[in-house]
Amino acid sequence: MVRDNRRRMRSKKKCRLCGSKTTYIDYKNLSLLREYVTEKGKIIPKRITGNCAKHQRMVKEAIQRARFMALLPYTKE
Amino acid sequence: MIRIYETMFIVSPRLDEESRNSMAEKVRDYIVERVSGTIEKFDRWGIRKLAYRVTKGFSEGDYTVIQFKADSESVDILEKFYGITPEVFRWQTFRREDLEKAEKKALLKKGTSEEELPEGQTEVKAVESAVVEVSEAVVEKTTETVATEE
Repeated sequence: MVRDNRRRMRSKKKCRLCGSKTTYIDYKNLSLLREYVTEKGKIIPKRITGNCAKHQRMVKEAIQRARFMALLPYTKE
Repeated sequence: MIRIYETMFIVSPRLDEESRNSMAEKVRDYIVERVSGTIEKFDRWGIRKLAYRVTKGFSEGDYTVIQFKADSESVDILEKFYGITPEVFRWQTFRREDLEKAEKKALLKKGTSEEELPEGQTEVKAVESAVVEVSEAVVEKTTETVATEE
């Protein structure tokens, strides 16, 4: 069983923000937020970044705040 | 209910530097006087490029961030003030719950280590809830024992 599974197994992504025990994501921390945004300025889904739901929500909140204050773009080109 | 807030606003770049600085100070004084808050952090970023062109046609703006403590009911006054100030073209105010939680934790820790009650209520409430939990647990246990006996 284990061997069969191993063939198909991908390395499981872990929430990096859980690793660092983040309790608040500052919307002014643009270098961090840029990691969770595509080149076009869209928010990267958690299935790709590996964030847990709680931290994805924090990231979303921070990005939306930064966008409103024109710190991050809504779209690029 | 005293809470921690953070506010950020962008002042029009058309004003000269002096009036922009005085504008930021005006907001700060407004928070102290009208909102009756206490300033914890006052951070001037100065002129900064915007990530996109705003509808008013600006591509840069003067940013200021203020962190303050104020009563939850009087924060609305600040929002109204922004609304009637045309020099401020974008603003945002929100609660910093994480800082509130950290403060509360620090207070609780302090209280338990010194065995004093510096600002009564929260401590008393915590103790009460603990007592209630314990009593509930006892009740459960007794009921269990009764059940087994039967």
